[in-house]
Amino acid sequence: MSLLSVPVIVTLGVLMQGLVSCAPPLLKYDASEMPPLQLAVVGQPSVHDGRARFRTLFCELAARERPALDCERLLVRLAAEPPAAASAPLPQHDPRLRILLVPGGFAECFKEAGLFPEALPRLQAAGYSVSTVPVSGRSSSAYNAWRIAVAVARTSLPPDGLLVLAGYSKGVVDILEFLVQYPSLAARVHAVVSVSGSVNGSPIANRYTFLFEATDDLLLRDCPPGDRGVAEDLKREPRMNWLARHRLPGHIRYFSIATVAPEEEVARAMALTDGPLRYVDPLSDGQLIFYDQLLPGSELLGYVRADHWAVALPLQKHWYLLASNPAGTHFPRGLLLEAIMLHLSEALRDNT
Amino acid sequence: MLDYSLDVPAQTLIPPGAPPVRDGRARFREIFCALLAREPSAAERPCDALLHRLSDEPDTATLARPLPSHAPGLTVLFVPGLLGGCAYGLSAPFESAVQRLRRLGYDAWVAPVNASSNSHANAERLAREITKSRSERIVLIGHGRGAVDILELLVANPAAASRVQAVLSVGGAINGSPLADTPAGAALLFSRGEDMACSEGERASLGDLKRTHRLRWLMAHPLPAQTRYFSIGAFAPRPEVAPPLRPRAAALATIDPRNDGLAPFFDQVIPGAELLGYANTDHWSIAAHPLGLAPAQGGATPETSSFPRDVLIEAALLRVIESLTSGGAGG
Repeated sequence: MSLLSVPVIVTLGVLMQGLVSCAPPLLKYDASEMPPLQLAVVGQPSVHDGRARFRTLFCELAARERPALDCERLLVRLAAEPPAAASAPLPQHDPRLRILLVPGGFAECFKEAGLFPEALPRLQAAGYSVSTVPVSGRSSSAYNAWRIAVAVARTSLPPDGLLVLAGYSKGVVDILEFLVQYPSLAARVHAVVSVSGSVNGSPIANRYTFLFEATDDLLLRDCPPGDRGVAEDLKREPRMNWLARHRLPGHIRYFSIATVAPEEEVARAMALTDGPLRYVDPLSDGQLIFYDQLLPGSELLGYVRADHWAVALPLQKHWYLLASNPAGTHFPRGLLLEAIMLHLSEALRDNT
Repeated sequence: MLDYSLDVPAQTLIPPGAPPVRDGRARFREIFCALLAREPSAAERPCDALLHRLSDEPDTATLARPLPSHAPGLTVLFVPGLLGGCAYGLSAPFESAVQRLRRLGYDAWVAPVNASSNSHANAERLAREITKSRSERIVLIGHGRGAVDILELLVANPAAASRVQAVLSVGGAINGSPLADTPAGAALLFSRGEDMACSEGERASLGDLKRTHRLRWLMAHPLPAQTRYFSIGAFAPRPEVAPPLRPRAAALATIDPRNDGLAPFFDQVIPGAELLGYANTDHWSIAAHPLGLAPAQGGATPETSSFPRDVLIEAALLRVIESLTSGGAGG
């Protein structure tokens, strides 16, 4: 769901607006009134709350580097966030972390949509080894699991190295599929990070996959088709059934960052898919509902105030009119990813 | 945007740290179907049509296990929700279930909670009811907002809670109801002409059912560990929902079409509970029977009026007793 082509979004949006806009949404509340939520299958472990520590790390990093940034605003404070502990010094970066980034759906189809481009040099400068897994943009997660497996197998890991898979949007689903399909390679993984992960899929994909599949060959004709399973893997029911059938490996630490944005801070092109989602729940990032984004059993790091694209992709730079938002906001992606890796450095400190 | 489909696993919407729900559907189906087979009306609807079978329900045991034994003398206290004062054309909730359980030797009655009071006040009423119990073993069964009143009691009154062995929610508004969030939803809950008995008090008490309020409450109040929790959810295809509930079910379908006319199926399970199953019926019919009105007048559909709600309650109680006596094995 990370990147649908603009014509598809416009078509879907117009159709969906027409279908649902005849009555007001049932749910209306401020983000500060609602605690974090996870739509979970029976027996799935709940998330645990790591928001307070992550806010401290993110804000201290921001204060050090860009004092003008309003850090409190960039991390949305949902209800029941624990108070921050007494200020502790920032942890040291841990150069043992070997980071593989896994892009979302359609990334391969849009060269200008590189994942966290600003973050790569700064992470490398901090001593991390970082690379991006070339997953297929239009393929299912089962297909991409193999590509991740190849990347993991080829990653040289020193004896004390810590392999981290960081996925964005559908890339997170690809990672989960890899973990259960390739247990011997999954044994090499120490941590998985989900950034706006389409963990439970999205109602948007549920309804309009048929329309996408009828038009994608035309709209994405320059993009390798793979197995064309991308949209099916973003539907809510298949995702929930997958989660009910599989248990994630217990030796891995899981972390989740979710995204939510007010309507006026959602990319203009995405506002058309965002509208219908807000009939389901007001906390949306334009493509996903907040309770669909958390990995089972993960540590919840926080809710970033960004739409589904702005958190990870530099689209505002390339598609100014459609990817920018009416409020004119931007999100410091590089800062976010560095804060995540600092948090991991601290959390995995005792791992060997 | 979502279709009505049973090809989904059971789901719950939970805050961080919520204890995981346990799956008791297979054993409950076994008990319910065995009990139903003894009823004269058993042939009307097959058992599998009365309990939804979602995609992740485990298979029942190959060899049928015997039914658990009843526990005469046990106190069973029913707690109605808004239905107690706000429905038209229905019997009093749980009226016939109480009669059935009394015939089986239970000390059963319906608690006089007030639909127009908040849950805190109702929790105090429940505490007084508990003091009337002759038995030290008490099971509380709550419907809709009644389940919320029970959870409030357990947290607010540890002395009363210590006597409660088990709680069963039946179509419980555990996470509240999306209909309680906005005036548009409230208008559907208390639409003019269908709920004439409902007063402004009931409307005021809706604050307790706001989703934000309930979910914050659940996150802030871990439930007492010495009590066992059980949940039965409900949802039905919209044409089979009682006509007065259909506009509510339609509105809720924007969130999820698998709803009972008060809440989506994923809002109806107590954190850490044993999930017994999902009844194929609506929010009213799981607890009360229609008083002979035609559907056009607000009566039930054939499906909901014939729903064997008393068998459902007896079966759930048997599973509760089995769990309490065996230390929780089942499934």
